[in-house]
Amino acid sequence: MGLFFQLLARGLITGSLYALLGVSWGIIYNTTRTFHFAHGFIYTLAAYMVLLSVDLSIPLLPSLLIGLAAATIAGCAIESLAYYPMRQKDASQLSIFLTSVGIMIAGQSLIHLLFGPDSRPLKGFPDKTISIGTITFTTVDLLTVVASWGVIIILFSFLARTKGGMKIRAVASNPEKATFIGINSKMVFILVFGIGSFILAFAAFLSTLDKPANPNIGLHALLISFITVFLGGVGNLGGAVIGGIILGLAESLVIMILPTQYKIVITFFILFMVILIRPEGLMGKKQA
Amino acid sequence: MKKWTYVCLGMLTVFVLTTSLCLAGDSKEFKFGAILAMTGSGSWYGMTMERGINIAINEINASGGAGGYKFACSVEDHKSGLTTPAQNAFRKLTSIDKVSAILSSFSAPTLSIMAMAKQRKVIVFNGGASSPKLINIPFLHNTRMLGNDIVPFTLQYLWDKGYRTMATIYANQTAPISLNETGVKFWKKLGGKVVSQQMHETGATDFTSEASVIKAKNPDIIFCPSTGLDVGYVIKAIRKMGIKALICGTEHSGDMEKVTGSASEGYLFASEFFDVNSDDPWTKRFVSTFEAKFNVKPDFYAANYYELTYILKDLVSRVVARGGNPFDGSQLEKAIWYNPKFRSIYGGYIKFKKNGTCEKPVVLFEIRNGKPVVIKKRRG
Amino acid sequence: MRVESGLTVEYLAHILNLAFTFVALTISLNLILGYGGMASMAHGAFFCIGGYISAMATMHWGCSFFLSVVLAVIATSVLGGALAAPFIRVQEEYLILFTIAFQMVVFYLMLSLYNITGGDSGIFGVPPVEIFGFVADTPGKFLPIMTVFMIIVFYVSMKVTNSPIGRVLKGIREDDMAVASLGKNVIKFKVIIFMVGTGIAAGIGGIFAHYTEFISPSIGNLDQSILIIAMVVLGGSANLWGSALGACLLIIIPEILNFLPGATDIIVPLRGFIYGVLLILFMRFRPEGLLPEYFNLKSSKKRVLDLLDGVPEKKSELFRSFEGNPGHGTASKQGPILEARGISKSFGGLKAVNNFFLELDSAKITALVGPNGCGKTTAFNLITGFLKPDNGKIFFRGKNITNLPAHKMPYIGIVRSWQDVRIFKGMTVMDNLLIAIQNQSGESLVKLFFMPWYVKKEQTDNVKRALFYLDTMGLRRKAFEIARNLSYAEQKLLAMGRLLATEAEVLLLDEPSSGVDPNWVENFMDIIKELAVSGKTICIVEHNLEVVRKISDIVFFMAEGRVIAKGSAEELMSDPKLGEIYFGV
Repeated sequence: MGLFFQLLARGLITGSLYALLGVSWGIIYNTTRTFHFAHGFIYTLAAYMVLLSVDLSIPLLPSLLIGLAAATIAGCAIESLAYYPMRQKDASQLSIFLTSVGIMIAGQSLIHLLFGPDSRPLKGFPDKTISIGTITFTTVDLLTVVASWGVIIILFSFLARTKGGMKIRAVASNPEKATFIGINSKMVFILVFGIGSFILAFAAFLSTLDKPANPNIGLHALLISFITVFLGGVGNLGGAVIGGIILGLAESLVIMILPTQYKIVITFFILFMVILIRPEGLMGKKQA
Repeated sequence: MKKWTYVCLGMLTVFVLTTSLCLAGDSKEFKFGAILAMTGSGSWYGMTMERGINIAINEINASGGAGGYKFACSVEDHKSGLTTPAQNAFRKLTSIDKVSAILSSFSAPTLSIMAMAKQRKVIVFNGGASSPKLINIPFLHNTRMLGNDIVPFTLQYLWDKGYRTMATIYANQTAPISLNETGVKFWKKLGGKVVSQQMHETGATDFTSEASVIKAKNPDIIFCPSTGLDVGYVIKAIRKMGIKALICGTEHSGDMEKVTGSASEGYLFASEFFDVNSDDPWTKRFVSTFEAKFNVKPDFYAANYYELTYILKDLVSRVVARGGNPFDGSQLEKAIWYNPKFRSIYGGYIKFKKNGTCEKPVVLFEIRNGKPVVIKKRRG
Repeated sequence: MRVESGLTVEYLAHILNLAFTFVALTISLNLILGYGGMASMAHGAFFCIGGYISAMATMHWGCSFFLSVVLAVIATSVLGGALAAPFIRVQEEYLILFTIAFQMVVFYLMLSLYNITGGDSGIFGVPPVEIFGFVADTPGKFLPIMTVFMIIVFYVSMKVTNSPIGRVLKGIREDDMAVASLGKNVIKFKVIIFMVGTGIAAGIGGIFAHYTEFISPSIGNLDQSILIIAMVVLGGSANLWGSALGACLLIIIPEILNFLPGATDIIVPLRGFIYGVLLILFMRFRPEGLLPEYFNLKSSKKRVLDLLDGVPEKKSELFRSFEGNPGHGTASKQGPILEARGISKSFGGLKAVNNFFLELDSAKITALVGPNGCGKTTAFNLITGFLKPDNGKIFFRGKNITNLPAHKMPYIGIVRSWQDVRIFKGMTVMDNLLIAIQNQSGESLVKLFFMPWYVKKEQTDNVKRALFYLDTMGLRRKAFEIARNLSYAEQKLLAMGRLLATEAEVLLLDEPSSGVDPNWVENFMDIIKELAVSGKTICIVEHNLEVVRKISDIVFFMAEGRVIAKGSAEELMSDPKLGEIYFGV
């Protein structure tokens, strides 16, 4: 029984980070319907920018800001320089997707060329183990949970209460109507890419505190991002949060039933079935 | 359509030209190949192995080469254990670089090229992989101590200390799978209990669920024969979970501490013992050259590949002295048996056995303060 | 002692073998992606599955090489067919993700079942290719065999894509509903091309496994699938030569990079960087790929040109069907041949069509009118199988056709036109007509390959048939014009001709005269009247009340989803209440 609670706690901790990843990709996809594969590259970029600045003896918090800035700029740049012109030319979804793949591959290779292939840990945050009953976790885990939910709550408030947030929600639910009522969807698109990349950089930072970064970390983050979105519900950011929690819990608890090597198979199989049966995801809604 | 036909023909011409240019090499050069992990999660291994090879080549060439030939090495990448790149590398090395000898690494890539090696009579040396499957393969010689030597040594030590229950966790990869088998079989033979076995994806980084399972089973020891950074992540997760049980394995890559930090304290592994503080003049010279160039002391992987390059030097010299052709791998192979003892960078000699393995001093290491410290020796 | 120059030839041969393997693979994916319009990211998985089946067949089940490849092709295409149905049902925006998920499931499953698949390190010792006793255990010996296989794949693919099957696929890519309305089972075609594509991939997988004498799950991982898609898209989708080009470029260029002097540890990321940049530049600036879409039923053009010489334009024998019969439908039976009763359909909370009824009398022109938004087009869609009614029944000649799917309607004799015309803009006028002909043997894969002489003859007959309808609509001089270049009125004529070419007896026309100027409206009215005279049963949805008055025999008036009046045009138009409803006063 103790094992169950430990796994449950673990699942919720991982789930929090996954939820964060999910909303970072979800806000982009829900609003623009672009399959932004290069999201993985931005994740790696953010992590490496933080590491680079720490190497240059800049303290941890400003380094985080540098990482956030780098990611946001990169995200906005990709949208305005790559995706937007292609959409204007009526490019197919596949073409845009492949461009995104190209950015991902080129970007990760570039990081490999510049920084080398070895792992780089991020130090600077105390890493102590805490035990409560049968449940153990670390201070980094605690920070991850607190920061993830903090960012998620701020994001939701932003979307619900500010003008920018309303514009984003309008475009997300019906892009044509939004243009009719005078919303500049080009700017909104760039905005969500910026926000999504910003949040992603947070996730990269939290994750790198826990595990060293290497040029290939982006792919895994990307897979988690879109799995949670499609699982939890396209078009509904709350669904991405739920998707993240579910995925975190599933990954953690599945080990009680199946040998651990089937973890990834199960994850993708669930995704496969979800798309087959209910492509909008558990809580999703179709775009008008 | 026509335009593109010309473009393609043009590219084909360029390709053919470049190929032939590379073929016009220095005929007084003995080039051998190396297939290493240059990219991917095991790239640390490739880096250190290449370093060992390069230092050896520089020294050998500075003292006039071997058998009248200058030494050179063409390094290829198997991307941390993938077999298709390894096979492509083999083809390129034998067809373009015309090598008759290859230094391979990692179990799966090595296994994947042996059929072709036998067919083309290319001799292959392994100084890094440890899978027990690498025994008794024609044209393959392992100078790394393999699992069926080092695993029982480790586990016997722990048994003698009174530990009785073991949990294992290992990667879905050639060497760890067979090493796990060896370990489990041996432990059971001793009379011990194996309370859980978990196989994980190579390159995974989050082991908290697996660690939770281990915590629930509460074993005396944990055996993790994964390679590269995988072990590091496993150790870290186990310690984070508050598990105090002793962890042992078969690998310690130089960048493991990047992942574990101080959690690697107490980790046990057995392997060949490369003593960087040895008084042996050859070892001393190697250590100081390496350290001067790379700012870090050499590990046993670098040592193995340094040593292999020197062994090749000996073989080439032997073949030339008898009027033979060093570009024929079977002649190099035969040359081993003129005298299967070679000078070892570990001190003393290394002896080749007919089953493709070698005898080397094996010791049990324990990590103290992030560094491996010898705690028990075994005469091989 | 080895022959030194021989080894270089071996290496070059190996590169060519690799290139040819990918040419065949790329072509097979192009069939699915470029021709079938399905973005499958799972092609690597099928390549790998085929390889494993073939390898296990020769290693464990005692099959010969040839048999093992055949086995792999059949088994995998069956699997592909089973998967194709859900693939197709998934909406396009999810297809990429869906196929990625499938690819990952297959890959990680194969990795996990390492007892069967050898896991990470795969299976060594697959026996080399052996054909009639000739063992191809070196790249040089294998090259001629691989070349032959590649040519076979090329030939088969060419034949399929330049056949009526290819024409239907092109139609589906443009407008799958229009294709369905012409009697083609869209799902069937997509499944067939998917099976062909995956079958070929599997066969190539088997061949490759025996060439490299090795197989592992990473032969077909996500990177591989992405590489193959890149080859298709770079080379040009729906162009087989483009696929050959794309495959060769993406194999040979990295090999050339291999020869660049430089540290090995940067070669791989450098290659990755260049590959990524290439992908970006191509997609951004030339997404259609190197070579344009290639659709050329050359034989038909040549045949038609031959026929054109001998056949004078005949405009007078109008509206008889091709065989010279005075048209079907001179029914001895009086009364309606098409009846709809109690039809209702709701969308969400809105009842679009409520207790709708309609009767079409044989050889009469029935008009369906009503104010905007009253549900006329929805009613049309319900009757013709494009929507499923919630309630009600539809009968055609006494048979219940309520749940008949749309693509079966032309077969029993009912066709419909579209308000927005929906001709296939990328095809020639001739092809637009040819595609409408029913029961083409050329659309059957089996008949195409096993009865080619029969298919050829039928194609000639069909061309004559299409020509007949071409003349009927007066479009002969535009026969090889791409439909996109026609004027709007000509496009409408073409759409009408297309309907006639189906030789169905019941024609449901959705606003046939909208958008054309008054001269052409006269023309259309004449055509419709002649059609009725020749025995066709016609129903038109119309806004233009002049047209309704002039040509309709009976009128049904719809408002808010239900029929509220039925009678002659005079009767209804003199009713002031209906006038109010119609004009919304």
